[in-house]
Amino acid sequence: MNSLDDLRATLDAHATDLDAGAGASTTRAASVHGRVRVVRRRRRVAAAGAAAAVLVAVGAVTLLPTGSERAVAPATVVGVRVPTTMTALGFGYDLAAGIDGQDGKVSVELAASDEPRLVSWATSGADRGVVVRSAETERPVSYRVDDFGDYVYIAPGNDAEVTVRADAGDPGLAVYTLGEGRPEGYTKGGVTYPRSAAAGDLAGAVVGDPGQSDVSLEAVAPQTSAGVGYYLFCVDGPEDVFLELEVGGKPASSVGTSCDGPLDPNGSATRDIGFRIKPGEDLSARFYATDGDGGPVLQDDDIVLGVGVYTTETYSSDIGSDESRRLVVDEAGHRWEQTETVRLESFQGGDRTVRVVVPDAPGPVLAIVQAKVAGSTVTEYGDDGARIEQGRGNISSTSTVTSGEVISVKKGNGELVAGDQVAVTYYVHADR
Amino acid sequence: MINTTARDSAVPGARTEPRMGETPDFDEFVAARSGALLRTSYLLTHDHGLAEDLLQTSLTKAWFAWGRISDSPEAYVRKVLFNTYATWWRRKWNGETATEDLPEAGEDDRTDASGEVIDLWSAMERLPRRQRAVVVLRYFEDLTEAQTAELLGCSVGTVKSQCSKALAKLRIDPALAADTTPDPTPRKDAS
Repeated sequence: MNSLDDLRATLDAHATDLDAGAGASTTRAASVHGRVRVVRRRRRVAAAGAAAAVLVAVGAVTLLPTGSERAVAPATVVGVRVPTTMTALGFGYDLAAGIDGQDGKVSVELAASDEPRLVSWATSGADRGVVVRSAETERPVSYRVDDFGDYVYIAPGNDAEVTVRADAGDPGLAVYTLGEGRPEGYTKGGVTYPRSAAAGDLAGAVVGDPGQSDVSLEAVAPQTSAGVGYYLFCVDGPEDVFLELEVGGKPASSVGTSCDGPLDPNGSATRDIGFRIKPGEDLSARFYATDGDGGPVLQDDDIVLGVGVYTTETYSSDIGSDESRRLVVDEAGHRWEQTETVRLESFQGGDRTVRVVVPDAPGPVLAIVQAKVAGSTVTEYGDDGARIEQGRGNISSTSTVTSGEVISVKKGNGELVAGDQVAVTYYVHADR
Repeated sequence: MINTTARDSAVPGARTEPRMGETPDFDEFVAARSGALLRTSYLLTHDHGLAEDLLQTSLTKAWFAWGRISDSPEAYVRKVLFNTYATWWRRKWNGETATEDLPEAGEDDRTDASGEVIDLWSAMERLPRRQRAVVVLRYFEDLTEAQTAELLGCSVGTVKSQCSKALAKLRIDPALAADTTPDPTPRKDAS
């Protein structure tokens, strides 16, 4: 039996252990000011959208639909024929609305929806150059792709403002809502675990019926497999739920979470838990929700649980290794392919911070920062550190960035030394 | 609803928030107190990155209210921090990530038998967020039950019941949860 003194000592010890004053406070104010600028900009955009809505109400423009409705979609915007469907990671999307821009600009404001959406664009002239501002990145992103050749992905549960400015002529927008098309794989209850994804090859999946708070599947590791990832989700359940994962009959993971969030139709985009495995190993899983920590299986009429098992031919928990850098990544509604890795592992002169500038690339860039550093590290994205992640030991941090943006990795306490490793791997939209 | 615009629109209205560069007190406050606030944030989230994110989210909210809270900002920020944690946390997964070998056959079950001494830090990770917040407020911040209730916006009875449940899960005799804090003044740890 523990005592209250033990509890106080534990809290004090962990609070003291944190490198709270290790230089971070000097950058924290700057980071907060960066966040303030982002909030103010979003408020301005939202207010501008509200003003536009008033104009719409007096009859100047057709009022466009919510995510659950379908408008009569236009055949063209700015004179360019609009595709009636689009595909993102194998999921089909249907055209919901089109918007003609003017004066070289077009904007759309989307209220929050429980389903993902896409926003794509075209230009009236031959020049395909546009600059797109959205919540995907902090900075505007330059694109030069064919009309409706790329898109901004709006994740389930999110609202969004998307603005496109054309280098020449006028841009037009098209909004797409989730359709019926699904990639090949396991589909149930609106969720699909694709047979093949960046996560690996699907070895098994199960989605329970509403109210089924205990699901199981059987799977065996293929002969060529070295790693496995369990992709878990829960929806339509309580805010405070404990989720238990058993693999091969043994407890493998336990998390406390909320099951009241929106449903992502892509099962392989959910939370994953990875392990190293051997060929032929039993990967059978039981995934269930409990009423409280260690409590009985949850009784709930609506909760839906799902788990998908993906195996990979390589596996490494050593984030400094080449094997840990995936060639393709499915993230934020896009398939990304690796372009280059920048290693920052030679620390002469006792640097405390290393910085890299995101290289030129078409469209947005996905940066995965891997650090293997003794002690804590702080990773900052953007010139003013508006996005910051902190970790200890081996860390991996992912962010969507833009060309020219600065990424810095700082050691929280002391100087980087020989043996410390930092690597940044860049990815761009695949097949664009 | 989708609203559209093809033009920028000016947004009229009185400004009630400080301008950038007009907040020396705010920056001084961040420099002086954010270390201590980060520790509290870390005890709530158990994750360095999330702790920093939670703190900066709270400080950002405080920045917009600075004109009316600058006389006693810490109490405001602390309240925002706990309440942001209670709501903002809902869409995030708590807990661990496992990246090593699958559990071996015969490995001990992670659940400890009642009465055994357990790793309190690990056990706290399994507390629901409100119970964890109560534990941090009562036994790290040294707030009374009444102060804890006021900060969390709930009744003293709720604090008592949440605290009792939390201590039971931490294998601490819930009878020890009585409000025995002699000094209602919160402890101020150094930043």
